[in-house]
Amino acid sequence: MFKQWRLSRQKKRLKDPAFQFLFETPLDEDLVCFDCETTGLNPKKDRLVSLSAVKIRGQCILTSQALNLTFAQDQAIPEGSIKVHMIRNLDTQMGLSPQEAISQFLQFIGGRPLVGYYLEFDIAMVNRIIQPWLGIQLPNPTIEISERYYDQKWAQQSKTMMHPSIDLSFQAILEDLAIPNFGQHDAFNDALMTALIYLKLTEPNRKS
Amino acid sequence: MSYQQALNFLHQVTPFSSLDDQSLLQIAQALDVVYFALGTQLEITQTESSKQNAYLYFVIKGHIAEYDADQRQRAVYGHNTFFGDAILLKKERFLRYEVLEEAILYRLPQAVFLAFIQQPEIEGYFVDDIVTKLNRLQAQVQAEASSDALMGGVTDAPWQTLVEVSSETTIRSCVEQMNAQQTDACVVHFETETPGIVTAIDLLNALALSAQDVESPVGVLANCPLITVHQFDYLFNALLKMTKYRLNRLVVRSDDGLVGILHQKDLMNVFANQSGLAVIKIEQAQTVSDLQAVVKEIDRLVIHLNNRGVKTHYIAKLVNELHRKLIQKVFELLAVEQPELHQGCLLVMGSEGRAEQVIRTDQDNAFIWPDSIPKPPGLGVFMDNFSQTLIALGFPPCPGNIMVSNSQWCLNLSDFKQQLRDWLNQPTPERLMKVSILFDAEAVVGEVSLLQALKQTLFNWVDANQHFLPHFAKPVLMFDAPVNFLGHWVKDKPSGQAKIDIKKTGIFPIVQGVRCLALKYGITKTNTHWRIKALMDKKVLDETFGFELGEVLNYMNTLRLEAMIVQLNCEKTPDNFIQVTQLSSLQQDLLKEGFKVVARFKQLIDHQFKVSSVL
Repeated sequence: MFKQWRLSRQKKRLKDPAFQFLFETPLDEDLVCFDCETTGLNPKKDRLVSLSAVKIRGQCILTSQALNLTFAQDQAIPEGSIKVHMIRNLDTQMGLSPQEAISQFLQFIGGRPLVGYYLEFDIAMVNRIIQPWLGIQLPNPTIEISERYYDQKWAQQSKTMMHPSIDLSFQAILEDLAIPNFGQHDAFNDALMTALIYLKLTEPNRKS
Repeated sequence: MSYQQALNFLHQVTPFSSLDDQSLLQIAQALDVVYFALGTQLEITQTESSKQNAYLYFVIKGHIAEYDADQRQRAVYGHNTFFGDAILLKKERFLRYEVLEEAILYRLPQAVFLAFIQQPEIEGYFVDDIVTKLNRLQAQVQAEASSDALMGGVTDAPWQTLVEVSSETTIRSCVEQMNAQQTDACVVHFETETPGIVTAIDLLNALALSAQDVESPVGVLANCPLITVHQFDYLFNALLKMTKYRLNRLVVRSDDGLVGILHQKDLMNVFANQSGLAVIKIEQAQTVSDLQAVVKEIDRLVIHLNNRGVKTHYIAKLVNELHRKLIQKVFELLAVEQPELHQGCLLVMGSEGRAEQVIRTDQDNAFIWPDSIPKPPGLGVFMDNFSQTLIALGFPPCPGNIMVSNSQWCLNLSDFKQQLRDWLNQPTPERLMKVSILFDAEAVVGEVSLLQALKQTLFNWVDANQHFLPHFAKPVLMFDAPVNFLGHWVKDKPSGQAKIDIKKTGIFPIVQGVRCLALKYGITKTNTHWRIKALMDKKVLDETFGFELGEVLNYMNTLRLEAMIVQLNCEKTPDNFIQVTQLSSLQQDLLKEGFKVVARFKQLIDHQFKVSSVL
């Protein structure tokens, strides 16, 4: 009820009708998994450096149609963050302007649900660009895999008398679910691994 | 950046790893990642449409089993392997897959796969049978190592111009022609016989020592028959022929006729490395201690040749030829005072007799003297000395004491025959082993006819006692292949490591099985490859299977040799185990396919000799 109201309010605020499709029900049942690398961890101050998104269709992750975006930087990327994601200032020279890049991202996701790990942060980064430009925030439904993972772990562990202590770090989840680490802190790899976590958590056998 | 992972993955998957980076990148960009839960079933189809499943799958993690239309399990795929090619290439009509362990895979659309398999680097992989695959692996190893003179062809060496004359040509004319071409030998053609060769030394001797007239014909001086080598043969085969026949020259032939003369000194110039020198050093040795250095050189040569990717069969041929020369030389050096010993016959037996021993693991030898002479005086002392000398040179003693120093293996011909008949009449496993070892014997020094007579006794007895063969063939079926029905390696029990006894489970069944067939069909060759060839000629083995068997034997021997070289480098005593985990996945696959060939061969042996009836 509240969601519906918020959606229609967002829709009215949309400044550019070309992005109307964000509010339409998608024709397929694909999900989109995405991840960003940024200049830091503060969504109010820091900027996007790269963004990757892959579609999940059934049991398949369409890596062959992945979206990989690099953002042009108007200020130098802090050294600390370069050491994390390995994207140098040099590597962003061919990058797109934030609006151009996010426009491609919006075309890619359409109205599809978004899947991610601590998605709130990534969505906030995107919202910071589209809020002043389109007047809205990302309206897509979201699936937070750390929540899903916690719920499952809780369901498994609460049967015992042990007090659950669930490690929600990305590394711990990967290890627990036996997903190969393709190399972390690369937006594409993170999106791919997140998608694998999602598939594994939704696998039918697991719940039984 | 984002395709790096897929690229790295493809770099580890044979045969895709042979493609250039440009092609690999294109494949990497076409890959999707798929996740399958435990128990998921899938089929791969040949046509591409939204509902169909026409993809090649690469396993990143997990295990997938493959079943055919009759629900038989055909294979299990694990990390860094791929499946679906058989369907996509229309080699199979139906295959079903089941996820044995939840799996993450890459999948590649059929169209992309089909576009890339036409690249020459990988094309062969998908169309060839196991023989071609093995040859390709060999070629790859050879290409990776720098080329070496030893592996060069005869065409790489300088030849002398071929001078051909008829047997009626005068000595004078012959010398004139040789001078004109600056060569020191010429081929002499006869009207009726096969051609021969005349060298400058022959002519000199004829003129100076036999006082022949310069106008007399050269025909009588010719040495026949002509020993030739094909122009596309390996240089080391040319060297082998020269050592074997003690020649300085070989006539080079092409498919159309004779083309030139290869001189040993030219050949040595090309080699200018140990192998050639080893032969000369053996020839020149004056004392046993001179030979010590040669033994070390032979060992280095083995490692060197193996690194060059020379087939183990050829290495074994070369090394055994050198070893025999060495043993021969030792015998000659020790027997200087006892010329009567040359009337007897020194045998090398077992793996040495088959020319299949590359790393010296033991010595099996025997001595026969003719019934016409009494036991040579001091024979026992001489043979003890002989065995000790070989041991000192680095031929380890035989654990079963099958050596000339054991009086059981040093007898006159009739006693030897009687002993053989006793073994055959009252066989025990140990006696059967002795018969096997003797059956592989080859003469190294002295009268070959003594050995032939002894072997004839064996053939005659087996002909008259066919019930013997099933017992002789029994050991072929004794050891199971170390691959279980799921296609996994059977792990070594106490250690839990995946190490397999390649000799017991792979090499031995082939060698013993082929030996049985050779005994049954009266084949006198001793080398397993030559026996296989002879069995193919007799139509006992069909052409394809014979080749497969030979290649599998070669491959297993190579793996064994490599493991032994590693052990020698670590200063351990070489054994027959290989660590499966240290093999690449292509090597493991080939080995598994090899064990399938061994299994088929065991069935054939069981069928031929009705072995199951005596088990």
